Amino acid sequence: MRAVAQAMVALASRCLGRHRRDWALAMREELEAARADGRSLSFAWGCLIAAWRELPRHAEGRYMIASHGLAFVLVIPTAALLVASLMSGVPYSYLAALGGEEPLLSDGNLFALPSLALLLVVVAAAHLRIAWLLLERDWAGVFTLGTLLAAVSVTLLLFTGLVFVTFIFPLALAAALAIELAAIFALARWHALAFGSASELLD
Amino acid sequence: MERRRNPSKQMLALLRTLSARPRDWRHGYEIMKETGLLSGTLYPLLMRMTDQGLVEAEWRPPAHPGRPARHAYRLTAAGLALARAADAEERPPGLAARFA
Repeated sequence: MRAVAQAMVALASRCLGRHRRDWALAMREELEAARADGRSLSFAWGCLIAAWRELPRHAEGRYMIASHGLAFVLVIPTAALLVASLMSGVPYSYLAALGGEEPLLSDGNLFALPSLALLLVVVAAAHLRIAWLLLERDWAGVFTLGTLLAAVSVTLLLFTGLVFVTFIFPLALAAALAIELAAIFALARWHALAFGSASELLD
Repeated sequence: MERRRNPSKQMLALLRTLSARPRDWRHGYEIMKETGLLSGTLYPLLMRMTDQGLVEAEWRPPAHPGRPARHAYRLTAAGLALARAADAEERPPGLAARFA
């Protein structure tokens, strides 16, 4: 119980940021008084609510909302969508199933399906890692992985286009990745302007 | 000039509690118990009022040695004036005139 309350106050402290550092310390010290009264959990929960209410009011908080929004609304759902589409057979196993009927599919190009599907799994996994690095503000890692993602999507685009003469799926994937990378770049720029780091990576 | 809205019910409770002993420094948990406000309401209110110059906050040495310092709060002169004005507004007109 004590550990949970302490974790909640620690999370509240992170949400309050440097701007309200004194208040975060004050909450931590008051937790002891609440604990002696047997009300540590409700006190800690209230502190967390107070910290969340403060988020939109300061630059660091607004940045936190934006970075978590990007990770949980765009990056992780894209990874989930890729895995779900692969599991439901779109596009490569779908193309493989068409094998006999589709004139552009033959034994000659079906060999590429497993490796292209594997590349898509790599793209999905890289998305999850990018979401993590984004929240950790590890911009060097984000840019390295972003470059890898761009390289993989170009590979997918070229190979799928050449082997299956279809650009619909790889172009949709490339467009989604371009939007994502542009959003990540904008976030990194915001971080550099507001907090000073990541600027060397953007120059 | 910053326009100040009418104090909320929670802010009035806090003003009343802090103005009862205006010179004393009070700790957050103690204020929670006296006002009946929860920490999720009290802390944003204290932060706002400190930003507006109505409340002053200070790290106070512990009452018992070996304990960490605690953040304590009390009303500023502006806060006390607001508390008195709010108190006068809350009283019925006849009563307010007698206390004026």
